[in-house]
Amino acid sequence: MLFSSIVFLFTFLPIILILYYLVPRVYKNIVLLVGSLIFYAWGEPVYIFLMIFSILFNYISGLDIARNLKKKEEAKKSLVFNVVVNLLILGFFKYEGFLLGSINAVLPFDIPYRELPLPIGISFYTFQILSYIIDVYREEVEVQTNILDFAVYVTMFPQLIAGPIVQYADIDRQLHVRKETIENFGEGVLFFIRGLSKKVLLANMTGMIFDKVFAMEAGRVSVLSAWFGCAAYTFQIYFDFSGYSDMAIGLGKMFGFEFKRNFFYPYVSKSITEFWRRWHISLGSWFRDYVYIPLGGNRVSKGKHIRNIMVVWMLTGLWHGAAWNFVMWGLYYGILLLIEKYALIKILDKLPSIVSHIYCLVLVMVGWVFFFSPTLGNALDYLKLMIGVGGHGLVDRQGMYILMTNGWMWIILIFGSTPVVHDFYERFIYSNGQSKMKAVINCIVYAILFILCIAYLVTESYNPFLYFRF
Amino acid sequence: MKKNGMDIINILKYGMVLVIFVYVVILLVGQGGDAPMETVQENILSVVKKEGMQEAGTQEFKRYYGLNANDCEGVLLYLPNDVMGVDELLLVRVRSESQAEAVKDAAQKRLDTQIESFEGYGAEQTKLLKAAILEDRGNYIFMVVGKNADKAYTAFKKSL
Repeated sequence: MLFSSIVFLFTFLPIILILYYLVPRVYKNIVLLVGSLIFYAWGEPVYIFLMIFSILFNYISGLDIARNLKKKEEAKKSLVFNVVVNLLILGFFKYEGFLLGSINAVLPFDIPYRELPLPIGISFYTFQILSYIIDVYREEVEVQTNILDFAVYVTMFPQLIAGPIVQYADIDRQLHVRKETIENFGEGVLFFIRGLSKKVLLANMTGMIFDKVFAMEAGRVSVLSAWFGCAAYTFQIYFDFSGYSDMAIGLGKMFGFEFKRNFFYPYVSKSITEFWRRWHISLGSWFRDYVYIPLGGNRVSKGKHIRNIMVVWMLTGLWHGAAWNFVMWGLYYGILLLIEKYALIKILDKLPSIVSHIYCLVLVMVGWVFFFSPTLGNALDYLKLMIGVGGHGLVDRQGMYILMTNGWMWIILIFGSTPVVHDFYERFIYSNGQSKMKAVINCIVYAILFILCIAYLVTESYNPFLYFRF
Repeated sequence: MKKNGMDIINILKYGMVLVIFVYVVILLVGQGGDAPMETVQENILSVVKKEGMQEAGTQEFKRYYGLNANDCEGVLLYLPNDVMGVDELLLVRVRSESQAEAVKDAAQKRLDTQIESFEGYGAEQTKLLKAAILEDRGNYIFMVVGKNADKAYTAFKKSL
C-alpha cells in the first residue's frame, strides 16, 4: 500500500487512527502491529510470513545474546550466528540473481537458479533488526522482552517500506512510553501533507521530464537535454524520497513517535562530504555506527582508513541494488570522499561558495546517472551524451523546449530544495499558535496542497516511490 | 532458560531458522502459485480497466508471442485495441519449468519490441512499457502494461 494512494488516505489511515485513539493505552501497540501487518500484506501477502518468522527469530536471538552477556564469547557466537542468518536472508532475496548471474557470465556453463521477487522493504527492516541485535550485544540497549513491542519496532508501517531506518536505541523508550498530543498530531498532519505534496506535485511532475528525456533515442539527445534530464532526476529522487521520509515522520508523530530527520537540504551542500551528512541520514548513520566505526573508522593508518571508506561505500552501493551500476555508484562516492578528505577539503573551504556549490551539484548529478541507469553500460552511454559524445549537438530545440515549457517548475524545484521556502513560510505564515489569522492561513495553504494532491492522485497512474525497489 | 537439561531458547532459535529455511524452499518450489487459472483470471479481470484493450485469442498469442496456446495449461491475453495503445495483459499457466522460461522470454521479447517501436516518439507509451510488470510465480507467468498495472499485479499476487 502506498502512502500516496486513495485507499491509504481515505480508508486505511482513518480506520487505524480511530482505532488507535479509541482503545486504551495497553492495546495501542496491538492496533499498530495489526495495522502494520495488514499494510504490508496488502502488497506482499506471501512475504508477510517471512517477516513474522524473522521477528520471532530475532526476538529469541536478542534474548539469547542478552543472557550470555556475562560470557562474552557465547554472546559473540550468538551475535555472529544472528547476523549471518539475517544477511543470508537479505542476500538470498536481494542478491541471489545478481551473484549467480555474475558468476554465470564468466563461467563456460550456466548454474541454474530461480529468482524470487524481492520482498518489499527487506533492506530497511533487516537493517533495523541488526541495529537492535548489535546494540543488545554492545549493551547499549536493554533486551526487549516484550515480543509485541519488538514486533511493533520491526513492522511499524510509517517507516516499514522505505525508511527512515530507525535505530532501536532511538525508539526503545517510545515503544512503551510515549505521549500523543494534539500539537504533535497536528504537526504530524502538516509533515504528512508536505511530504505528500513533495511526492505528488513535485517528484511525479519532474519524473515526467526525466522520462521524456530518458525515452529519447541517444542520437536525438543534445548535451542540454541530457543535463536537463539528469537535473530532473536529481530533483525527482530528492522530492520523492524526502517526501516519503516527511510522510513517515508525520505519521510517526500522529501515533506519538518521534523519528529523526532523514534529509536536511542536501542540495545546498558545498562538498560531497557535506552532501552525505544531509542525504539519507539514517542510512549513513547506520553504516557509520555498525560498519565504519567497528572497522576502525579514521583512527587507523591511512591505508586502513582508505580500505574502511571503500568497504563502507561499496556496501552502501550494494545496499541500494543488486547491480554493478550501484556498486560503481557507491565506489564513486567512496573515491570522491577520499579525495576530499586527503586533498580537496581545504581548497573547497577557500573557494567562493558558488563554485564549491556547483562542484558538489555536478558531481552529485553525475552520481545519479549511475543510479538511474538500468546497467553500467547505459550509465556510461548517458554520461557520454552529457559531454556531447554520440548525441545531437550542444543545444537543440528539444532542450530549449524542456527549459521553456517547464520554466516555473524549475524555479519551484530549485527554491523548494533549499531552506528558503521553509524559512519564509515559518517566519511569515506558520504562526505556531501566535496569531489566529496566521493559523487560518496555514490551514488554508495545507488544505489547498492536500486537495491538489488528491485531484492529481485520482487521475494519475501508479507512481510508486523510487526507494521502494531497495 | 534450561528445562530438564534442554536449552529452550536455543531450540527455539534454531527451530526458527529451520522454519525460515523450509519456508524459502516452499517459496522456491511452489512460489505459492497453484491456484486454478479461473480464480486468478477472475481476480485480475475484476480490478483491471479493460478500456484500451481487447481480449485476444490463440492466433494473436502465436502472432505476438510466437507460442502455441494449446501447449500451455491456460492463456489469458488482452492486447491494445488501438495502434497507439500499449495496454496489455498476459497470464499464462504453464506445464513445466522449461515452458515457464520460454513464455517469460517471449514476453520479455514482446516488451522489448514494443519499447523499440515507441521509443523516440511515444514518451507516455514508452514510460508505461518500461514500467511493465513481468513476473513468474509458481505455475504462472504474468505480464501487464498500463496505468492500472499495480492493481492487476496485486490481484495476481493475492490470488496465488
